[in-house]
Order: sequence, then structure tokens, then C-alpha cells
Amino acid sequence: MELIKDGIRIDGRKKDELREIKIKAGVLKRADGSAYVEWGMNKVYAAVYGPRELYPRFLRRYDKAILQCRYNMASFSVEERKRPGPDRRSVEISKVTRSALEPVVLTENFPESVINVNIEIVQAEAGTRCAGITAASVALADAGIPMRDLLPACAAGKVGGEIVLDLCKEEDNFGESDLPIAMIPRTGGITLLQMDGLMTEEEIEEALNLAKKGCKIIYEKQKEALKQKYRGNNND
Amino acid sequence: MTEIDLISNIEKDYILNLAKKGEREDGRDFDEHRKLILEPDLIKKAEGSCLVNLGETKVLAGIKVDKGEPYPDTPDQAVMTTNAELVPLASPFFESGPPDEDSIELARVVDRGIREAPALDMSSLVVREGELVRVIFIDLHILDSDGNLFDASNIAAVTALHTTKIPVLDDEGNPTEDMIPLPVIKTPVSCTFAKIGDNIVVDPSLNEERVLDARLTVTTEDNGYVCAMQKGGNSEFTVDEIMDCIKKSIKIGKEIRKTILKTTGKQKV
Amino acid sequence: MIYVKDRKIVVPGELVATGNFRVYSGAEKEGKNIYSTVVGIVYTDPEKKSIKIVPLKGKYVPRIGDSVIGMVEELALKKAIVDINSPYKGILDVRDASMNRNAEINRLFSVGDIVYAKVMSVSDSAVLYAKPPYGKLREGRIITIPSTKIPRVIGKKGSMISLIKKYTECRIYVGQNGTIWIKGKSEKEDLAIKAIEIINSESHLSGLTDKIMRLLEEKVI
Repeated sequence: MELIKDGIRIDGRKKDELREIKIKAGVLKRADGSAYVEWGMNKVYAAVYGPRELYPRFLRRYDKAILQCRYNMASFSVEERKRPGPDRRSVEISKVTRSALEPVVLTENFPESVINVNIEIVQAEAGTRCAGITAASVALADAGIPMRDLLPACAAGKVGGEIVLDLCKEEDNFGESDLPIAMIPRTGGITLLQMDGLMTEEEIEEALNLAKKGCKIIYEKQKEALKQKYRGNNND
Repeated sequence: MTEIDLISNIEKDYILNLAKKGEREDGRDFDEHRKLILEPDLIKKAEGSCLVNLGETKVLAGIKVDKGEPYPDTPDQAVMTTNAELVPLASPFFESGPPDEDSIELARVVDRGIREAPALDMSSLVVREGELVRVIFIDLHILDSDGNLFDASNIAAVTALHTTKIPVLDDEGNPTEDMIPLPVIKTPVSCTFAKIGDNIVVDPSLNEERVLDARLTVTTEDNGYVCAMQKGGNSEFTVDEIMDCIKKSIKIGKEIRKTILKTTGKQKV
Repeated sequence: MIYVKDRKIVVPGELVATGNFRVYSGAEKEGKNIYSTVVGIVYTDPEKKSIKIVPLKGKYVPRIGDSVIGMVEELALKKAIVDINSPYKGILDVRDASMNRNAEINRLFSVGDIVYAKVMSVSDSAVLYAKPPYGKLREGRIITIPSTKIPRVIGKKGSMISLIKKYTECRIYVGQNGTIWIKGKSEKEDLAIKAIEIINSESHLSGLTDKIMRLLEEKVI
């Protein structure tokens, strides 16, 4: 199949166009902080509990809170039903999610404690880890946990020989390369970085810059979602 | 945050005293459900789905339909299995790991109501007897645990079944492009009661669950038959109380059944 | 240079100001730039050159001298472990809970009891003191809101809480950790709770004091 022709992709988007994204903050009652993200066909919930007491005790750190992240997919979220419970892919994504969020959470404010981040994918369509991190960062802010910045995440990749933004399912399956990132908007620093496929140095640099552009757009949506929650009759 | 789900004595006494006066913390009548919102068919990747908001309790049910071998002792019946995931996202007290006794009880009670009604005509979902049948997965994903997961999950599962579409299979048992609705013949509805002192209230809130002495879930089907019951908690019910709950379940079940059928466009003409 | 209007809501990472400002809470400095670290309300004082960002949500961190209201969650040897809505537990030694030298902790408290206490010291937990005027609270109602909203419940020089006490004729103890205890006539307790709920949900909007006044005067829930 032709994944890209005359700069138009298989789903009608231009090379630097994101799928439709909606973000809502504070959607769950029990959680200390929460968010819901719709990103293309992806539907993702994130919930944060904490800071709270950490058990077992030997995991406690005297100087900061530890971050525990759990990425999980619902059985019905994918085409072929997935057996419940963490598979190897989910465990890896949980780990890189933690590595992405840790640099922006001011964990030194809560020594000895734990901050639990839970991401549930209820419908999946390529790019769930970026949607998850995007939702998680809004949930952390919604919980009142101090952060250096919000953390937008977005992927770029090589499809039909061209560098494009935010791969959809067909592009992820049949394209040449996928490169998800998360970026600290204040500094441009990258806290999530993975890549698979084949790309030259120049292509990687182009993909990184394109993904950073995508992150900036997503950052505005994250900010808006948090402010929207508190929009009253006279503030904003 | 406490290690286990504890309610303070002051809050407990408040609820008990209110119940003695015939009142509830959120102002509801004893026989009143919280606000029920159904969002059917929102997970397009699943064959059927429904998100239920019962008060603030949120449960998402997804139906996946596959094909496979029947169980050896029932070669002329489809296979159906129900699973409930009490994911850590939904409560500060849910832990990740294999299903615990709460998750298993919830899944089996929802399953029982659906299987015994019966909601599905299991013999009509057979492709080749003894060899190939439809396999139906009911997956309950709890998103926000704020009391009465039983009713929220049952309503989500049954509504999801009503939205389910399955591919027509050809003679070899391979899916064609044509889709047909899953034949749902009954709409079982569960109704859960909490016993607080000598008072029985419907659709317990989170705090009511924390103080209850016993709970009873009664599932009824379209003709007013009872198709499943489950008692929980560490106290007792009298026979009169049980009969009263059954009467109420039939009545309330009718109302909720109407809502489910109306929402999925399946009300009887 | 201040970039945000006073009383506006900001989110983490937002550039609030540049220059030599004193930063009180909810923000961090990077060079001359001052960024918000929380979702909160910005209070700026251009004369005093200070910036304070009050988070709209957040867990309580115990401070020495705070009065707190918590729930006994466990009774251990000679002490009670008290949940104070915090990642840090309250520890109440039996000797700090009773004038009686031979007191036993399980005669003083049961699991689930509500305790009004003072924070004496803080390490990896908060060491509490619960002798009179502190101690176990009986009957009445409790409500828990984010600890960041407590200053609004108290009001400038205690004006808001005095108002609520006056109109509802209730005894009210306010825990810095977000839990508030109220005792009075049943309908008056409901009124006080409603007032506190409104303060919690509308603390970021203007006209709050007027709204509370109207509620209390009309006694309409």
C-alpha cells in the first residue's frame, strides 16, 4: 500500500499534522489526580495516588518520594482480545514512563513516600505510550504534586521514506521507523526516547525536531485542560 | 491514607443515626438508586461495550467475540467467560496482581446473572456442534470504585451485550464482512442492598458499604424470575428481609431494564 | 516583570515573573525566571516584590505547632498511629495522650476514633500531643478538604470561621491538615458543612464571602 503520496498520508493528514486530541483533567473521584485523553482512536485514563506511605519499607528513600508507574491495557482495547495482566511490553512501557516522568516531578518535597501513577488504555490505536505519559502528567498536576513542568509526549517516524508526525496504526505497522519522545517544554529536554526501525542520523534529527514541535502543541492542550477545570464565572 | 479502607467512628455513627431516622447521607430514599448514566458502544475496537456511571462509580464493560472449541461436556453450547479487573486506577486500596477474592466474586456474580437468565441463547451461537462455537468474553474494567460495583458492573455488561455485533461466519467458520447483532434474549438486572442496623438500603454508597453489616445482590430477568442471588458481609438477613429485597429487585429491575433497552434502541414495541 | 494577573490560575511550568522577587510557595527560580510548580492561584505583591502561589490541591505535610484532626488507624504498644491525611503518619504516645501515668492506649482509644492533636515534632512521622485541650472527639460531624483550602476556611484573622461559628452556633475545630470537626444542632451542623463545602469548591472564585454570608443568613441549604 502507499502510505504517503504527494505529502498526504493514508488517513488524509499532512506530514506535520497531529491526530485529533482531547484532554480532560479531574475525571475520576477516588483518585487524588486524574485525566482522560482521546488521541485519534486511543482512549486513555490516568490516575495518580499520593504522595502516600510506601510499603514495603525497604523501598523508601530518605531524600525523596519514589515514583511507581503502571501502564496497563484493557482486554477489549485491542483487535485480538488481550489476556488481562501485565505482559512484557506493558512492563517495559511502565518502566520508560517512570523514567520520563521522574525528571519533572519534584520528589524531594516528599521524602520516604511513594507517588503511584496508573495508566489504563481502554482503546488502543498506535501511540498509547505517548498518550499515557501525556495523561499521566496532567493527572500529576491535577493531584497537586509539584512539578517543574507538564510533560507532553509525541512520536515521529519514517513512513514511505518521509519523516512524519504522530504515526497512526497503519503507519506504525507498515512504516520504516517509529520514534516516541517526551519533552520538558521549559527547557526542550527529552525524558522519553525510544526508537525502532532504520533511520540515518539526519532522519533522526529531523524526526526529533518534528516530534518536539508536536509536543509544543500538546503542551498547550494539557495546560488548557487543567485551567478549564477551574473556569468559574470570573477567573480567565 | 489508611492501609485498609476504614471509616471513622464519628462518620459511622452519623450514617447509623440517619438510617434510624429513615435518611441517607446523600439525601436518597432507601429504595432510590443514584443517578445512572449509560454510554453504550464507545469502544469501537470491541464487539460491544458500555460505560456506566452509577453515582460516581464508573465501570467499563467490553465484549470481545471470538471462535473456538466448546467445552467437552457442552458440545452444543457457546463459551462465555466473565472477568473483572479491579485496577489500581480505581481505588487507593486496589493493588495490581492476580484477581483477588473481591474481583473473582464480582465477576462470578455478574456472570451468573447473565448465564442463568439466560441473557444469551448459547445453542444458537454454535457453528459446528462439538467443534466450533462462538467464544464470548465479558471484561469488566473498573475505573472509579465509589460503592456498589455489583450493580454498575451488571448493568455495564448487559448493556454492552445489547450493543454487540458479531460477524456472520461462512460455511468454513470464517468471518464474512456482514455483521449481525448478538442475539440477546433476556436482560438480567441486579439490585444490591446493604443492611445497616435494621435498615435496608438500595445501591449502597461507598460510606454505606464501609458500615454495612450485610449485603444482598438479587438478579432478576424480564419475567420477574430471580436468576441469581449473592449474600456478602459478616452479618445475617431474616427471611422477611430477603423476600422484601426480592420484591424490590423485581420492581427496580423493571425500571433499569427499561432504561437499558431504551438506551440501546431495543425497547419492545 | 510580572507576567500573570493577580489571582489568576497557573499550571506547572508557567513563567510567572522575571526579576528579584521573593518566592513564598508553589514556585521555583531558575536564574531570574520564576516558574509555577503547581496548579494554583498566583498572589503577587509588586510593592513588596513577592510572589506566592497557593496550590488548589495537595497532601498535607506536618509542621511543628499545627493543630490536626486525624483518625486512629492502629493501636500499637503504648502508642496510637493516626491518619492525618498525609504521606506521614501521626504517632501518639500514650504518655502524650493522658494525664494518668498508668494509662493504657487501648483504654483511651479505639481504631476509628477521631483525635484532635498538636504536632510536637516531625521526622519521618509527626509526633503528636493530645492532652487537654486536645484529645478524643466524640459525636458531631467531620469533613475533610484539601489542606491548602484551610486558610480560606479560617479567613483573614479568623473572620470566616468566626462567621460560621456565630451563625451555626456550633463548636468547630479546624485541623491544619484539612479535617474539620463540627458539633451542634443537627441542622446547624449541616449548614456549617455546606458552608465549608462551598469554600472548598469555589475558593478560586471571587464573591465567596458574600455567598457564604447569604447562605448563613438565609439558612438555605
